[in-house]
Amino acid sequence: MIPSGICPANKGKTQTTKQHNMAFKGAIEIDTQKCKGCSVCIDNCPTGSIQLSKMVNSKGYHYAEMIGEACVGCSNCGIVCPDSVITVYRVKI
Amino acid sequence: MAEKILMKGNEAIAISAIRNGVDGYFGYPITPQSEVMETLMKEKPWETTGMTVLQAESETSSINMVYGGACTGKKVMTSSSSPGLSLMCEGISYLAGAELPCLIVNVMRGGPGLGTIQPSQSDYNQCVKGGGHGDYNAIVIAPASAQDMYDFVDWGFDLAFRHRTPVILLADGIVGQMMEKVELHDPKPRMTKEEIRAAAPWATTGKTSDRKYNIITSLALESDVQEKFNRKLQEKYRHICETEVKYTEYMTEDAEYLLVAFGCASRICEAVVDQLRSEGIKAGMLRPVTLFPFPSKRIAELSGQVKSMMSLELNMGQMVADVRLAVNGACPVGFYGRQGGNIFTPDEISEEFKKFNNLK
Amino acid sequence: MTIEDIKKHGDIVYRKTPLLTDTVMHYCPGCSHGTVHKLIAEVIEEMGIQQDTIAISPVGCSVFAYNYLNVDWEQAAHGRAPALATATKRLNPEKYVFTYQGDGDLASIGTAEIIHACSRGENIVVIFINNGIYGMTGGQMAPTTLLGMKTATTPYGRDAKLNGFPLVIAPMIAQLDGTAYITRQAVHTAPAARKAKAAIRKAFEYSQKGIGLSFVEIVATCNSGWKMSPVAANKWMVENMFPKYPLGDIKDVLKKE
Repeated sequence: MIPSGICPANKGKTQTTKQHNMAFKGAIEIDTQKCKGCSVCIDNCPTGSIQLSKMVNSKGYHYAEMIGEACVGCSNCGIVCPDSVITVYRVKI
Repeated sequence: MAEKILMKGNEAIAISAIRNGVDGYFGYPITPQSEVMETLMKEKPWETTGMTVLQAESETSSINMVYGGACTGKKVMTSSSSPGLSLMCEGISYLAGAELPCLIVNVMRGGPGLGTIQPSQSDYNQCVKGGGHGDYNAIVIAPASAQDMYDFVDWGFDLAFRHRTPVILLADGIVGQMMEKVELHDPKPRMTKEEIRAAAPWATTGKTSDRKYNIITSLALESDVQEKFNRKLQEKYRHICETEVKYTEYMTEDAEYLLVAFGCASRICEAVVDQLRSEGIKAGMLRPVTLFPFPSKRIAELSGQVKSMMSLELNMGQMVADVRLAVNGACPVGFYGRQGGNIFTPDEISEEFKKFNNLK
Repeated sequence: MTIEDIKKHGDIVYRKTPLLTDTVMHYCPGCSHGTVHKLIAEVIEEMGIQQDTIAISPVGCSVFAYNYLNVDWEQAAHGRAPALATATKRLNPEKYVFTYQGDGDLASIGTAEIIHACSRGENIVVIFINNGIYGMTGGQMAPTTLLGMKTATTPYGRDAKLNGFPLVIAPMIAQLDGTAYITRQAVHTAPAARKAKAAIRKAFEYSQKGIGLSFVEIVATCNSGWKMSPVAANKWMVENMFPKYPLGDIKDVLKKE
């Protein structure tokens, strides 16, 4: 099973660093065991919805995790991820 | 009646390739074998059998084209001469490491370096002992006539595909340039895609849903994996040595002296045997047709029968080492050779033979 | 709507293509190779040509590309991939044949092979990863290393007098009549990666038109070799590599003026 990339510590909290008024809402799932924490996704996220976890995976990498609810499902993180560990979901609202 | 045509050994290679369903030839011009590609280009087999013929930018490239073609399960070949073979050694090592079948024709000339364009047999060590890096062998077959050149193309591919290994057809400038009558056998069609998929399930024919994807590689970074692979290769070579040895004998039944010679030298030595016999000296000759695998067993047997052996080569003494290994001290082993394109005459060999054996 | 709801009811708009295997890539974190592999895999998936594709891997870090893309692979000796591709394509003209080569492989030891494959107009695709360094052997100077750039064999920075000048391949082969499409792309941002993917797709499509060789150079990072973080390496690439290796199409024989 692919472990969820959602850090329990952030569940329910609202991230307000960047507010986007778009017609989509998105979410990402990260294969945290395969993530190497390179941060290229974080650099490419327009809504500031990804951060490196304080936790490490079995390889010792601080893996990427989704934060907040600002994600619009743009897939930028997915396409730049060198290890293809990100799945992006999106709904129209 | 099969068709008989007068042609050069080099031309026989080309005609045989077309008639035996070879899929691709990739070469680079070098004397004394350029007629192979010239003949192929003149024959335009891409219009008849669909065979691909391409002049590459170097021997390095042509052997790697052979590698690429062999990966896809096709019958592919190249031809060159000594300095070109040196350049190909990298590729041959990779072909052996990736266990790919192919045919490499070497029409030997004299070396080292740029050497001479005259005939020679001085690539015995290079071709039989490896040449490239790593623990590998290629099967080496040595023709002695234009007919052999024709026949060995098909036999070479049989060996290559049976054992998934590169095969070197080790000819020399004499056999390549000499014109002789060649009997053409019935043509064989090229393999169909379905036949290739069945015969070479390992080949890069495109990943279909019924199999995992195929990788052709010689890379094994893990020590144990690499060692295991090498043991497997050695097992294959042992099997080849047990099953594929080929040699011919001339007047050996009652022979007291044995001449050993391969390729064109063996034809000269036949005349030497006749000459010595006419003088009452019971000589015989063994011609290794496969140089790897070498007919060590038969030579060892004969070492119990004869008083001495002599290796006759157009080089400074290369195959003689394998003869000595096979004989293992059971009888004296002599050597006589010429280099630089010089070819020994029967009289010359006869004299050297007598000198070595203290015969008058 | 919670995150879990979005995952449950939303559309999957991006996921790992099944053309990539489950093997974890051996590349360093942030390495461009992984992104380029993925783009190629997506193109193969979208074009539906898995069983018609034959890939050729080089010597260098990406030698192991064959562990990651779910197509048939041939592993070439250093620099020789275009020779393998030549024969593979000529003997199997219906196949899509591509080589994947780094700058050491293609621009140094393999210059003869790439130039002659281009010159002959082989109907293959060449993916050329230019990160200005030898990654696998530990960060030595590559032919494409920038002047002043520090590597294991140019510890004081590349000096033209001592080490020669950076070799710029794409415009050189654009002059050859056998090339059909030459482009230079990057994958450091999402828009760049999308453009690179479109370029790779175009190259694959061109390779079946019988109009010659298609060449996609990807200006890439080797953050370990450059001794930077992945994000810093991307920034350094934009500031230093792009001026010498500017992005964009260099040649497109089918482009209407």
